[in-house]
Amino acid sequence: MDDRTAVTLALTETVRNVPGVTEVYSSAPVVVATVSKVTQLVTRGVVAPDLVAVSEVDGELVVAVTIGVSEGVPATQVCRDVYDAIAEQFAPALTDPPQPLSIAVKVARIG
Amino acid sequence: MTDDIELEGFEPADLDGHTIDELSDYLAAGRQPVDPSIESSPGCQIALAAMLRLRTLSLALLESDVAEQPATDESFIAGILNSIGFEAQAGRSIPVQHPSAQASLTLTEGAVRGLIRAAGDTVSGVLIGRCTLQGEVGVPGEPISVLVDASVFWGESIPLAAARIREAIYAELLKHTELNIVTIDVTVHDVHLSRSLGETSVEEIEGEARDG
Repeated sequence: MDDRTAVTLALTETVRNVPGVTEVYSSAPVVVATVSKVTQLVTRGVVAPDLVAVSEVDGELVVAVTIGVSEGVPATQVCRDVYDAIAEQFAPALTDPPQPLSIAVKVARIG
Repeated sequence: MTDDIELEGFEPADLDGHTIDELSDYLAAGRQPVDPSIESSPGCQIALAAMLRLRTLSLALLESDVAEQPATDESFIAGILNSIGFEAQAGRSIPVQHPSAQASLTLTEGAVRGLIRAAGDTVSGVLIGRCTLQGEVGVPGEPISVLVDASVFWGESIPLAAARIREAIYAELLKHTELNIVTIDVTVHDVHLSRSLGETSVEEIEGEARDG
């Protein structure tokens, strides 16, 4: 397991544990994600948990996650809680040296 | 379920590579074998949930007046399925406020339309036809109008049904979004005869109308 996969796994787990989150969807288009998983199955026998996308753009760390939320908790609140959980997880690692961070949380389904 | 019904406007990629017809067949097969590309697609999940509710809500119609006017009601149901498919697409991004400049938080328009339809479906005696968000949903604070087409079952008060739909939708939007909703316009296009509403049959209702 490489570093990026480990980070993605940890972030996915963090997001799943936020109250109100019912699903973590792939941040890549579904068709691309599915083809990617099939390819990984065929070539390596492993399905990567690529649900949370982590990339680096011009020195900025960019995290993108797409979620489904329950009807019971306001979607806006869950959205903020997911952001806070990810930011908290990254904060210690980005202080030395300081690195800009951008976190995109998208709610794609409610209920 | 929809084999003989023409569903206009759908392209294969509309719902993450799937059509509403494919989802209908998948639902009819009990979601077996499991299709990961459907089960991991929020758009498909929204559409499947709406189709399940529609199946339950329209059962009374399918058991009564559809038998008398099959062409009309197949077209009607197909129209709703068509709307479900369109609405389930992600659409525009609706911002959620956060004090941090690092945050980019959004709801998809598809998620909100799904919420609106689900709220409307909780109102008894009505079928939701189409849901639309009108206005600049991507700009915080902009006035937004919700347009809902619906039909009611025979015997329901249309003004009361419209009011109940409006209340249900507003409550959900208030709870889950930061949209500045200024109006919720409910347009009732059809009245359906249904034996399941009370025990009065179509013939009895027509008889009472003549006698009255």
